[in-house]
Amino acid sequence: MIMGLKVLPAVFWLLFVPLMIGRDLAEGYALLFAVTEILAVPMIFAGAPLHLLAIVYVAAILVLFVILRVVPDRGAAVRARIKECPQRTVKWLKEGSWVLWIALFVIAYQMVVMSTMVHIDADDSFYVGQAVTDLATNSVYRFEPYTGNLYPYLPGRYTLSPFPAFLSMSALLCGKIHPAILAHMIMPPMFLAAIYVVMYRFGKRFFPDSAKDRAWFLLICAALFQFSAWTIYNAGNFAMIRIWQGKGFLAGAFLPLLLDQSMTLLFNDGKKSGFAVLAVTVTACCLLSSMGIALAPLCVGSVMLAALAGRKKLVRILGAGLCCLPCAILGALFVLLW
Amino acid sequence: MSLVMKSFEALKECVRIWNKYWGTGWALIPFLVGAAFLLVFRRKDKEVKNILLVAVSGVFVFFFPLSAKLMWKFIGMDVYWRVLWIVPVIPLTACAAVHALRGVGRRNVRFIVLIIMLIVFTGKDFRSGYVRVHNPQQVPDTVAAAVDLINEDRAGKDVMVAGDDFLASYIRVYDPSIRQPYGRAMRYVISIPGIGIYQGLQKAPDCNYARLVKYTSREDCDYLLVSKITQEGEEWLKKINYEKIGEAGNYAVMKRMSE
Repeated sequence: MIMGLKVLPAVFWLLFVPLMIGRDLAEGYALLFAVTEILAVPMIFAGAPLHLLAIVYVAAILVLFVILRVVPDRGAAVRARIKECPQRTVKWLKEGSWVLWIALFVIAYQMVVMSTMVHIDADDSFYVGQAVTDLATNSVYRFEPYTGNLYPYLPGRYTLSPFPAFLSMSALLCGKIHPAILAHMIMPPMFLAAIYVVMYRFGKRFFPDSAKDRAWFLLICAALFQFSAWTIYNAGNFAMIRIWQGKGFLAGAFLPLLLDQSMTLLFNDGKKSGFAVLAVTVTACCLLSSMGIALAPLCVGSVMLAALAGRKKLVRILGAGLCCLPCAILGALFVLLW
Repeated sequence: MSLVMKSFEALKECVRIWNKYWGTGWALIPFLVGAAFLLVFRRKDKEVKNILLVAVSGVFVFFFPLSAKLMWKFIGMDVYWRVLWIVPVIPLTACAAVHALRGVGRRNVRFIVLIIMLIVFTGKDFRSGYVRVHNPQQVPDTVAAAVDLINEDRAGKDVMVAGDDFLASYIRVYDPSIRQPYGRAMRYVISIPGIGIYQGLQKAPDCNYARLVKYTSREDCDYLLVSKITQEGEEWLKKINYEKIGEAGNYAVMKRMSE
């Protein structure tokens, strides 16, 4: 019963909030992660307590919600989204036919496995251990997770990519739920949903006029993720077995999201506001893992290279490169301090 | 070494890492077949052309010696295979499969079965990496059992617990109120006795118990978790007032008794 009550705040903070604040679940998470990165890194250096990070985070999300969703049209879009959601979902399910139902069944199966079973991974001793320690001590990166002693010095690249801070802060907001429960049971299905949202974006890119083809696309993506354990190195398997550690989510959702957003900007002449969205996603990648600081510019860079080969507008290509500035700043900070 | 030679060496290393990433190589088949299909039959489709360009660009970035060497400096060679995450393997393969399906007709059951069999037999079920445990924190049951036993015994007192690498990785994930003399792979160990205890427990039950006792007596450990402890080991630890209070899986929970 108590666990059930604590799941409700988790659904609010980790599902409802990103859905309301972003254009879709994946971009919603990008915004939340970018905000956490911008707030958490200076607060870690300042030795701020966890509850202060949570308060400032909530205030920032509220302000962003007002600016992005309320001010432009007095919240009409948000109200419309909530009101039309059931009808649009039914329409989407009908258009996709039996193929979509099978795809959703496979995805639901994956969510159940990820939530009720566990992949034992010793990296949890840091990524989950740090969140557990931070919640217990109401601090952020002051006590190291292995022994419980004070950090003799801040841990280099982990400080610049504090995904455990997002985990501990979310656990606090969800009524001080144990971060290991949040990480292992509650987050995986939600993050997996975001992965498939990104895959569906690709489906819409390739098959904009056929709901049935998009359903087939989603089903085949689900099958490829299901049978991705051919090595432990590939992005699909990393996402399926380590999604709660940040870098699994980076591999499965955020690098493909960066590809999709960059391709829209450079190949499809997307709106200029897309550059801001790209910069937000790049910042989110920096939170998820120190690999994100290195891989996000490589990812965007590969699309820039492809756009150059495809003779796209140079100004846009350079603009996409500028969106990787957060990585350059964090990289420079790492070199300077450590 | 000339630039050409250095570049060649770097390229060889990239090839080695590429082979490691793809394992037996079977999983490369759907991706390569899909890319070839799109290149031959669907390259006039604008979005197909774009995704092919992006995929080729990603592979080029991976193999390009200059960027590879730069990345090795920043992230290390051990994890350079992660650069391949920028290649859109799953979207491209799925795109090819759906285009192929469009070509033969979506009701062609034989072709659908062929695609599914190709995915199943070149891949491996991700579920094979999952196990069922019986605690909501989803740490190994042995760890949960050991910590629960200690918590029942310690009556809220501040305690330090030492275990081997397997336990040390998860004890504080389960319960952060327990202190440890070291973490996984001896991370943040701050004392020589801590190193000695770690090395001893790692080798248990075939460790040198005399050495383990020597280091344990110099460290302030309230509990020791010893794997498959022998009678001899119990007697050695009894000399420094450690007695078994229970078991968790294969581990004996040894408590330091007050003198």
